[in-house]
Amino acid sequence: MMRAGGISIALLPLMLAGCAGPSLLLLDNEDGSTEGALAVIDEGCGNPDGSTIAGSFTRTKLSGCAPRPKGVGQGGLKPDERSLINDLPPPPARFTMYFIPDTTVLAPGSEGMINALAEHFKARPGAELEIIGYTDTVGKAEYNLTLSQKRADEIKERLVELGFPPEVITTTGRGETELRFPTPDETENGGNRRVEIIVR
Amino acid sequence: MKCALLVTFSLLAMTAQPAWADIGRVKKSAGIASIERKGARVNPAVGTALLPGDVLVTGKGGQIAVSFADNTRFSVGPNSRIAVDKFDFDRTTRSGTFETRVERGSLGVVSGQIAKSRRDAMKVRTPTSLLGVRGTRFIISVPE
Repeated sequence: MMRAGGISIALLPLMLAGCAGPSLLLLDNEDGSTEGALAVIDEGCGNPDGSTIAGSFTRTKLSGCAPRPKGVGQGGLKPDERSLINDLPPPPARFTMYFIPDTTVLAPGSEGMINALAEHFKARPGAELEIIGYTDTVGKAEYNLTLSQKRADEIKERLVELGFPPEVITTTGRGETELRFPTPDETENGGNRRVEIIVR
Repeated sequence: MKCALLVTFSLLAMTAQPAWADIGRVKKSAGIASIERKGARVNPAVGTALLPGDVLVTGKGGQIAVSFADNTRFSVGPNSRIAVDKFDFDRTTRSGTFETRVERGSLGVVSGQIAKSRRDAMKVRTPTSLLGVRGTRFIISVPE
């Protein structure tokens, strides 16, 4: 008996180390704002809304239903945590190009954007492109949906001609939805006749 | 022992997904690293497309960085197993569901459009808990 007790005490620190357990380190948002949060939402916890974990630079042990975040401060990150953050892919980049009314022809000022995009693409390993076409509110919504898709396809074609691999490019048309400059219907607006390109 | 039992518990949730759904791409990888896909191993070269159900695996000194179609970004640390159990994303409505399992190791995350689309549309499972992501940047660590 005595001996068995001695062994389990000796093993205890080892078992605890092996059981250091899952944890969460909540950081700030990339723009420095602090609105981020997670929640423990296990059904067994009987809390349908989940137990919220909020607060930038906090560390929380992930066990049980009532998380208790502890502040660590910006300097409280371990070296391996810092390198994890540094190794995240860069945030997506956005490019916008504008069009001549009712065409898939780029406005003169947007021509140069094609080369800027090509340069950016080369500098970004494993990059992929999402091209989203839009129109202003002149014309019928269905017509504009088609026109916006054609604008996106036109830019894809130009990029493929420049040597972009077609398999990394997706195109979508959103017509006269999500206006960049809200206008009434049947309103010409150069800022709304556009494609937005997301590079990730 | 208890911990080990908990770790090996959650292999049930692999829903069938269309094989063509390219959900993200590898942006960087280093050291011992691979993608497990349907029992096979795929080399995570830069530009490799990810599919739902893929498991990102790293060994000593290994690292994988991934961007997803909804702009979520992952950074997988060494000695890790991260399963992307579910990823559905509708590019038009910018909504979907995203479920990741951190079996061991470490995962850095910047959440994207799915997490913004609906409460708890993005979930992360660890051996001891299920988390709903409500839009932010964070690290999950699951020591062995």
